[in-house]
Amino acid sequence: MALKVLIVDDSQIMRDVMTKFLGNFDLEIAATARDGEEALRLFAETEPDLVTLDITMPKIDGLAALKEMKKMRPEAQVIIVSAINDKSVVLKALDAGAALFINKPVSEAAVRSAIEKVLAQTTR
Amino acid sequence: MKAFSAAAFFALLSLLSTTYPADLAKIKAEHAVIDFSGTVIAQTDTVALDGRWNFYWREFISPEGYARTQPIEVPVRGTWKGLPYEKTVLPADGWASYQLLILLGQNRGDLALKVGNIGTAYQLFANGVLIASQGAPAVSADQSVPRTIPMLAKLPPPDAAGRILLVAHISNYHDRHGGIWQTMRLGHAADMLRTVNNEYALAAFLFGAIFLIGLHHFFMFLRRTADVSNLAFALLCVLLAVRALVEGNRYLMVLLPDFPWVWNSRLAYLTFYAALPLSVWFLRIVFRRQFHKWVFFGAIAVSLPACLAVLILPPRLYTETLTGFQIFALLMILYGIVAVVRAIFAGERGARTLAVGLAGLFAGVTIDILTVANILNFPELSPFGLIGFILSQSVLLSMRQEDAYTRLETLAGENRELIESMEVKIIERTATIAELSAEGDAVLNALNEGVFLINREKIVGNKFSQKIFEILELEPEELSGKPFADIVLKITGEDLSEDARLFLNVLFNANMEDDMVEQLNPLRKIHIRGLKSGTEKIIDFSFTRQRRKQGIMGAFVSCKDITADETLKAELEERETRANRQLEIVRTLFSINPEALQAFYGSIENEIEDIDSALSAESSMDLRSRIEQVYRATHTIKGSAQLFKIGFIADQAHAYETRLQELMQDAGLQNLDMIAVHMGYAELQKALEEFEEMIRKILQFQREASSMHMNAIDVLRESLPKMVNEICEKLGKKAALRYENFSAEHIPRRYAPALRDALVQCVRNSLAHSVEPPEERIKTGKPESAEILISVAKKDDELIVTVRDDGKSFDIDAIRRRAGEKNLRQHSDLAAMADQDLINLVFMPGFSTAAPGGAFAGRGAGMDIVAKKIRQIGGKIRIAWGRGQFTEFAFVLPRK
Repeated sequence: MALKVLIVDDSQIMRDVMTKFLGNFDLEIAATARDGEEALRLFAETEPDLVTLDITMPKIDGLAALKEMKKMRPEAQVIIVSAINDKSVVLKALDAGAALFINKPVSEAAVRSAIEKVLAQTTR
Repeated sequence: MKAFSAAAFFALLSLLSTTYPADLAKIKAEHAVIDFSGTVIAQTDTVALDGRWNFYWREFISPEGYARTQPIEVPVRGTWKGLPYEKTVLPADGWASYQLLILLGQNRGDLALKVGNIGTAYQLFANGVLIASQGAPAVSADQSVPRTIPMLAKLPPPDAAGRILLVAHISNYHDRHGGIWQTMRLGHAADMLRTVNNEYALAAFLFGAIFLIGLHHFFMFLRRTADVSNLAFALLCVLLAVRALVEGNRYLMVLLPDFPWVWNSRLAYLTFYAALPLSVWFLRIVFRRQFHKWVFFGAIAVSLPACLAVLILPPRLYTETLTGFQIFALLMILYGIVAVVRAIFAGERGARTLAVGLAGLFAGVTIDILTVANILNFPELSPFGLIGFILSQSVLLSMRQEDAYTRLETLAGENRELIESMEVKIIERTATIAELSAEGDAVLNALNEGVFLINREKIVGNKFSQKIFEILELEPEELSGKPFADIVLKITGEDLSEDARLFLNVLFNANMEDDMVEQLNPLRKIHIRGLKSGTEKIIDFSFTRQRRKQGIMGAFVSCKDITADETLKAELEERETRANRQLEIVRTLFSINPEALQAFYGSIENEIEDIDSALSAESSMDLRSRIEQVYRATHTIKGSAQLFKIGFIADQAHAYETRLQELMQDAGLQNLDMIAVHMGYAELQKALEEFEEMIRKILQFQREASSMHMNAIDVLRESLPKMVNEICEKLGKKAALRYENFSAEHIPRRYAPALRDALVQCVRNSLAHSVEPPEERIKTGKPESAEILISVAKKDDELIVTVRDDGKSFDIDAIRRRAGEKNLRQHSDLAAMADQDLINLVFMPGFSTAAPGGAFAGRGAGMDIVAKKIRQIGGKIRIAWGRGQFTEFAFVLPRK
């Protein structure tokens, strides 16, 4: 059964790009969210297996959203999609349970590599 | 040990066997009478009833001994087959009676007969009483029921004369032999019973012993199917064990009375027929070199059909195969003995043991065969030979297994040696590694960077390059075995230490790609203050992960002091910035006109003043107002710079503005803060001055360059007004130049030099001759200052350059006079000449009307030059004039 994915990013372009890149895999795009608040709502509604999460977002930022998601459903895999302007934030996100991170600007190869890793882990 | 086992074995056998007293053995039946009246049959004695008995062919005589026919005397034990009878030879099939009179004499007590196998059905009577029977003897095959089992029969008391008459009715339709096959024995019942019981016990013992040996070897085979010798031996044992039950006393039929006689018979044959090839197979396996494979195949080729015959043919037929098979078996045994002997000589392991067993079996079987053939008379020895043989084979197998164990032990010993030598090697290798690591230390210490290892627990190892202590200013014991995050905390601060701690988790996460880890490294180019020296330095940590199958096992950490590099880099950057700024100034200067620059400076003049006043020590304003004033001015400067696209000034102003803004947000401003304001202003001023200086240099360069390369017309445009001013000053006149379209762009470059000269002459001429002194002009109602207009116009294919003044114009009389003076024309002519023609004389070489010595006109080189120059460039001169009004020279030039 295809894994369900929630794409979270405040930029429409990034959401479109991630949707396109993730379309290459046997994944079901459950929803896309534009901020942390919406992300948490859709996370609860759609119960995705995988979340691609931006860090810098309005309302609730990615780090807070990540912590909340991990509290709700620890088994959900979260990939941080962010620029490493602030290493500290990315490190904190990884510490908070993010599986991986993809550096912005994202490349198709980076997304592929990350998704393959997550798939390998979940099907193990 | 082996000798003891053998002794014990034969002792056991002797316990089970029967004894035969020599004197009794001599007594034989003669003429159907056996006489024991002269001897005493002891309690433990048994006597054979062998001898010559009466035989009635095809008659069951009465149990009391009455017969219709005459008997013949036949040997008992034995078969009737082949006996001469009434000129013929008796066949195997048929029926008959045997009769014997036993004279017991004084022997009394409970006597019994041990009746052996009688082929193949009988009834036995003693003194008219039926004492034993097996099967049903009959006069035809279909009425007869075969059954042969040895049994014990109790004898009735003898008659008064001490006689017992034995009568046996026997029929045979199922075996190749008919008659009393085995010796009948007489003895005391108790002792006979004991003997028979012993024989059953022996059979049971043989069966159990051999069967267990067989099972044992069968399980050994199952454990190790590679060794088929165990299987061959196991099968052989099972066969021989079964044989112990179906042969001899046929214990199987005692145990299972309903077991069909014919199957007992078949089993007896099969166990013999199949045992042969199995034995041969076994020998072939054990003595491969001595036992030829064709002999083995031969044994199978004979045995298989024989076994098949036993299984499908009736006993009467398959029993006929026995003699032939026995001969074949003897041959095989002989071959086996030869093979074993050869094996002994070849020194094959176990050959001697097997030879003994084989010899025993051979002897037993041979004796039995001879006994059956009535050549010898021995009790059945085959079982003992067999068990001896089996034991010898078992010993052989155990020897082979012992060999295997020995080999195993040897191997184990060798392994141990190998392991020990490995250990030695490991110790040696460890020593080498230690040496290498000593070398490694040397290498480490030669490194110009600090290196060390951290393990999976994020603990720093105990190997370092010396440089690390210098860089981190820590002692070895402050590093070795300490958590890396603690060290980071010690040399930097809490925030970075926390980041480092999180980073280490990422570092040891095998899922993270190396380049990602590298990007997340928070310890790149970090600024620290030396723990001992207190000097600021920039250090850089890099991490190399040791990736193994199990994950990240450790990380190699390299630490560099990059302070010098970074300082140099900063310097270079500073220089580069300056160079870029100057480049930008140049670019700005070339892209904007000097007026714009002038305007920029004009626009910021007030702001600079504002700043100066705000920063002046005499200022009466409070700190905040002063900074606000500076801020506003700076903001305006920034705006101007942006407007004029002077980027670096705008940047500088912006940076200053930002700092001022920060200061303004500070509630508690102090005088000290003004230092920052002053410093920022100094920087802005420096930029402005730098800019100004550059502009000055560039403008100077531009001027120099333009004087060399400027278009002659433009030069003229600039220089003519000066010339006009100078001349006016000398002549006491007033005039101003005005241009219309007079610029390089409207005049082809090729006309410039000629026009320059022509225009200069024309303007001089106008000033000298046409333009009136101011008072004169005022009198005539003209403006005090004259105007000289130079205009350029295009008309069709002509370019018309006009010089016009608003002076009194030509003095015709003066021209005429002058022309006369210069003898240019006859006076008479001159008087008659039209004004226009007179004016044309102006262009004659040497004509000048101005006062001699005048610097500005009338040098004789005047209007003639104009005419000449214009002619040279293919132009014409038109003159228009109004007396007292204006003078106009028009140079009409071709445009193409």
